[in-house]
Amino acid sequence: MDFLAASAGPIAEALGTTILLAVAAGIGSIVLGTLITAARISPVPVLRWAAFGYVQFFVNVPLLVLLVLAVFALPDAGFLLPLTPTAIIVLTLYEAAYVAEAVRSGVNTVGKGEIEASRALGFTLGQTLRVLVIPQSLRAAIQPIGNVMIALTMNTALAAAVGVVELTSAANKLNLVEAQPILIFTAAGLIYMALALAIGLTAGRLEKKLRIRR
Amino acid sequence: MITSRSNLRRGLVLLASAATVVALSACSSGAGSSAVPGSDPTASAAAGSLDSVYANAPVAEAAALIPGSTMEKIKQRGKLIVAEALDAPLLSQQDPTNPDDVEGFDADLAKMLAIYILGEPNVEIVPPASETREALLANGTVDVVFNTYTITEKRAEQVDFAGPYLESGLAVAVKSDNTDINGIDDLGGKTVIVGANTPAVTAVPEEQPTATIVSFATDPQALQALTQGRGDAYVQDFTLLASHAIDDKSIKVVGQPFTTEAYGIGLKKDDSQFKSFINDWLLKIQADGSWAKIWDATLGSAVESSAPTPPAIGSVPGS
Amino acid sequence: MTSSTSPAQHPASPLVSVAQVQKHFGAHHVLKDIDLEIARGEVVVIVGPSGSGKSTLCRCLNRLETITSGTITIDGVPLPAEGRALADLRAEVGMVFQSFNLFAHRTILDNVALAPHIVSKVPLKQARAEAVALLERVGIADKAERFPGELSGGQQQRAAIARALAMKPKLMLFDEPTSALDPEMVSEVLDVITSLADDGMTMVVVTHEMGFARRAADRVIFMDDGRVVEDTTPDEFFDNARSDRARAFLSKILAH
Repeated sequence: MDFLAASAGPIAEALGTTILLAVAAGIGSIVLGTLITAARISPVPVLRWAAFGYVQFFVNVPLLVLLVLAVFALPDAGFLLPLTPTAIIVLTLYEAAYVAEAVRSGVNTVGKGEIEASRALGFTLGQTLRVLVIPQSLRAAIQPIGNVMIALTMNTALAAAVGVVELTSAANKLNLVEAQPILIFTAAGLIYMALALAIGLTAGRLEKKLRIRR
Repeated sequence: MITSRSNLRRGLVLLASAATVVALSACSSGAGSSAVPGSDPTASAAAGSLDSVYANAPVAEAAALIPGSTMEKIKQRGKLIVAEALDAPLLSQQDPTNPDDVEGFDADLAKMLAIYILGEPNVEIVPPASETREALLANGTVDVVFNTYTITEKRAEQVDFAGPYLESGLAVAVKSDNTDINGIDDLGGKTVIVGANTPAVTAVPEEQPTATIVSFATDPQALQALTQGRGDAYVQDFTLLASHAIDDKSIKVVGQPFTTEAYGIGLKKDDSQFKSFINDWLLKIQADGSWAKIWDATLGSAVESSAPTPPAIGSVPGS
Repeated sequence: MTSSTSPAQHPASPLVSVAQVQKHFGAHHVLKDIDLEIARGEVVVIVGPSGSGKSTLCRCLNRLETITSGTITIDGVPLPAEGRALADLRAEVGMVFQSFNLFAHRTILDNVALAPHIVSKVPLKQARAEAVALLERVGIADKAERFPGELSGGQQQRAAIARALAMKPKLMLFDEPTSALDPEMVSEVLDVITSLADDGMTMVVVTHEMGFARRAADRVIFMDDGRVVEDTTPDEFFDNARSDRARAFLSKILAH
């Protein structure tokens, strides 16, 4: 166990990268996913189809493929971004599809009468979406979005495959020296569990606080 | 509506699989599929000659399979379970057109060991998430590990090593137009690409603490990253790099190998019976020349030198 | 009664003018040959059996429902078809629904202040101050910081009236405002509506409350099977209905 304490520095740094990936891609995917949902329920057919296509594409392509594609194919097309930003962008685009699905499940809980009332008050469609539909959908979707955020946190481990030094990558490296895979990966697993627990508890508290009483 | 929806879904699935193909080809371009030993004409001739090596491979005497021993259990089972890579050129690489065919120095030695125990090259491969090699051995998932498994004293606390069966060293590759880097000594402060779970992960920081390490999951990815400029240099096994440099003129190997890696055959801890059994086998294939023939057919196809002298069994700490 | 005009003689420029309106729901012809004018300050109560088209007519007046043919003008302007212009018109026509339809995720105060702030760009502080005054007017100022789900039906409907009034509408539409309420809460809502009528608000009220119709209406419109069958004063309607259908309807309603 001593070596775990001795490696605390690099592990903490790698954990920081994992958290950076999760938080940046988390915020990005919630914003983007919400916009996609808005497009998906808009009256503009082109937007609706584009949003539908977006979700279908990202739900049906493995994240690892997207990461490898972004890291190794985009430079050939002339875009060479550093690895961590690339991973954040790919995670954001990928998880946004799942956030969009979660938010869309919340849209069904918005009262039809309330939408009618907002129209009767003179709200434009955009205002109805912004003031009524999206806030209520997000509130109803807090738990599903929390689950997407947990999945996102686990998915950050795939960034190790394309060179980002995050928690899993650091665990690999440590194990190469120490040859204690069970101990090292159990420790890494416990850290991921703690992150998932923190997200789950936060989602639970938010839901309790923001729940809509009808 | 329903038809158009399902058509769209089908279209998207096609698109997705196309993306996968692009991803895979993106990985292998630059690395060059010709890094597979078989595609080199001289190598394929040499590879063909391995049939006779297999035909004349030593088989253990019945007395050596001591009742109750690990080798006797393997014999009973009828196959040898080996942790080895499927994507390591020259060492252990699966032929994409014939998945049953895994070739390379590690893979061929594993077949030889299977013949030694079973009389036939019956190997079941467990691709090692190499981060779990120790666990795979400890819990008995695999019998042996052939996976450029560098013998270290730390690892020897967890597993036993037969061998070493191969000595190699890490070297530095850069883009051909790079004139600043002429070896490991020039890597201070540079970004260095390594393969995840290769000896380079730890060896580079030891030599150059100020270097930034970027690790990629597979050798083709690492090579691609070098040619795309994600790092200044790629540190990997000398033989592998040399073979890449032959196929891909955009990279070159600079300087001499700066480490000596002694690769061992990983075994379950405290099975000295099995360890000495395998060491006996290593001595036999070294003595009868089949070790050198396999080297020539695999690693030897990448470099213009004849087979080196095999390392002495038990010559490094931890073996 | 606030109205100085009798229903028979419309003023020069009616606030609402409905001409030759037809509406179909698929094969179902729900509004037939509707002609109707509503003067400023007039309180028009629409009654009739369920399915007679009275709610549909009410909802057509701010284009929550579209019409198949004919014209509807509000203050001389034909109802815009879509977009910004329609939203602007709706902002001038308040509507109160049977099921209140308050925004469940916002406080009562926000419910009232939101539309002036978002739609009419009234500064939030001013919108809130005006909202407080409106809540006082409908008697639920003490509920300002509560959420809709925490209020009784009667309180919610009064909040919904305040929300509609916050846009300072020219016309108020009430679509069965008391039908979803427990009986003991009906009067608190009708009292608010009556006081609005007393203040001169032009309004259209679809209701089954005959007492309210008789007390507060300037004009009663009786609809049956998609047509306006009677269009007269309350006294005339309740005491001296001309059509058989109106008499049949009244006898059924008043028997209960």
